[in-house]
Amino acid sequence: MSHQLGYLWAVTLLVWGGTCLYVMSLWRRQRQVERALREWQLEQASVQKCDESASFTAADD
Amino acid sequence: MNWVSKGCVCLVGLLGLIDLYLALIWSPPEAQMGDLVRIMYFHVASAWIALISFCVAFGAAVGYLLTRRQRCDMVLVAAIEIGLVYTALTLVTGALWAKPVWNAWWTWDPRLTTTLILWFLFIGCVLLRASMEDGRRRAVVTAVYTVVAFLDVPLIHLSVRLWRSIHPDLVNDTGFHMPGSMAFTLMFGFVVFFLVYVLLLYLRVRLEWTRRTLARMRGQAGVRETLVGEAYRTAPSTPMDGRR
Amino acid sequence: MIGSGWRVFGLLLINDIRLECRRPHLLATGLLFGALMMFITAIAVDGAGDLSDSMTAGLLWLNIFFTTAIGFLRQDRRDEEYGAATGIRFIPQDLSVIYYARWCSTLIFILCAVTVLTGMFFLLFNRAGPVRPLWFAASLGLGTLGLSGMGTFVSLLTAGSTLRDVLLPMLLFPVSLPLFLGVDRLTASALSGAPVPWSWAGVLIGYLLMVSVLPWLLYETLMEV
Repeated sequence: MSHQLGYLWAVTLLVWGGTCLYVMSLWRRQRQVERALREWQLEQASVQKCDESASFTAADD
Repeated sequence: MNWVSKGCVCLVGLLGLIDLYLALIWSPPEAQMGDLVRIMYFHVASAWIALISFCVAFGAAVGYLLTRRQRCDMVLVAAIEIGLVYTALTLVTGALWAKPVWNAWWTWDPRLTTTLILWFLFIGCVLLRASMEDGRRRAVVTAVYTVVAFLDVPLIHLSVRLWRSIHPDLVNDTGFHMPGSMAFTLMFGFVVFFLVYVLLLYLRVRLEWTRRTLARMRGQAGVRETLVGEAYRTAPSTPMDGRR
Repeated sequence: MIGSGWRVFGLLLINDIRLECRRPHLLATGLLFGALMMFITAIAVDGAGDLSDSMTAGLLWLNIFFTTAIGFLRQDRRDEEYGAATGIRFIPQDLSVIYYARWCSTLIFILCAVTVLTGMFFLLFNRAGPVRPLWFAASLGLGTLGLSGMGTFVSLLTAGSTLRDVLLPMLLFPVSLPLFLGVDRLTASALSGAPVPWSWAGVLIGYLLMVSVLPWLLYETLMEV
């Protein structure tokens, strides 16, 4: 009986643990992509700023 | 992660705990299998969710082929991936249930065999998709393959069933062949698993959407840079050149 | 329009056969690889003449499946080499006609390989001929028909994949499982002379119907991208 219950808890842990691992993997991937998106947006913003300052300098010349 | 998905995860987690209580403590043991029958609540619910997921994938594939909407493709990818996770859980829990009951990790039962074939069919689909560069072709090929694979499943099941069968028929056309408390626990577990599935689908589609937003923005910037580069190359008498 | 469809079908088929006759790569690799596979299998089962009919039928079909999967890769590469894969998309017809022509030509080549393979099977496994030779031939023919149809379709699906060599058999085998089981049982019954398993003949016909109709609906969509 106790052997069966231990086995049952192990199976339960496997099912719910597996689901939790998948959820965590989704969150991890989401965070990675969001970080990449933010970095890219910052990069673009700085490039745009550089372009603008370059065009101001050109206009001053 | 925003507060909506955090709240959903907490709610589903709470329901999961209630499901655990019902499945492991509240429901009665079975006459022959004893407490081992409790594995059924996870095994059957996982199998149903896997099947629902592949049905969703089929619907999304047909939707994509008819409308060519990106949204359908995103749901298709998400449903296949989650379907694979649940098929894997079904196979593992099935083997763990089979060992003490049938004294074998694996038997050539139609449902087991069909489930394993289903897993092979869609793991191939995921690999195929991952190994393609062109986005549009990738989406079309995934949708077409999903349609073919899904329509092949009844034939696979029929043929494997003709081959051999020993699976217990706990739920069939005539209803549930179990006490009310067990049927209630099974259905409660199914509802909880379905809610988990909806949550996973939402999270996976959101991930795909963010990924595509990033790819689209990168693509647009790439085109813009190319166009600016072209403009500099093809127009030598720009004011900048004049000043130089 | 239907007449011109048949004309295109005939032209594509003749073209495939002509190309194969000029450089018989598909036939040669199919025959050699099939013969080698059969040889290795016979060694693996210790050249057993005491295997049951269902086991020997399974071994025969296993070899046919592997040989066929290799053949599909070869045939598509030929199209890519000559640049015909791009040109063929511009035919003024329903593009599914390409599928039917390709299916037919592949069937002819694979049937040649299967004939030699079956000969080797009887030779190496030291077996007497089938009790029902007509059923045996029919099961070989129908099995090859279904396999070449699904293989042609799957080979187009995997066309743009970087893992094509692995993915083609990986996708083909699970999808053609009903076919495999059906022809395996039919071949076993033809070998032993047991009563014909009509239910398996039904499965086989259902599979062939699927292979004939589905690509007609989906092939054009695939060729567009």
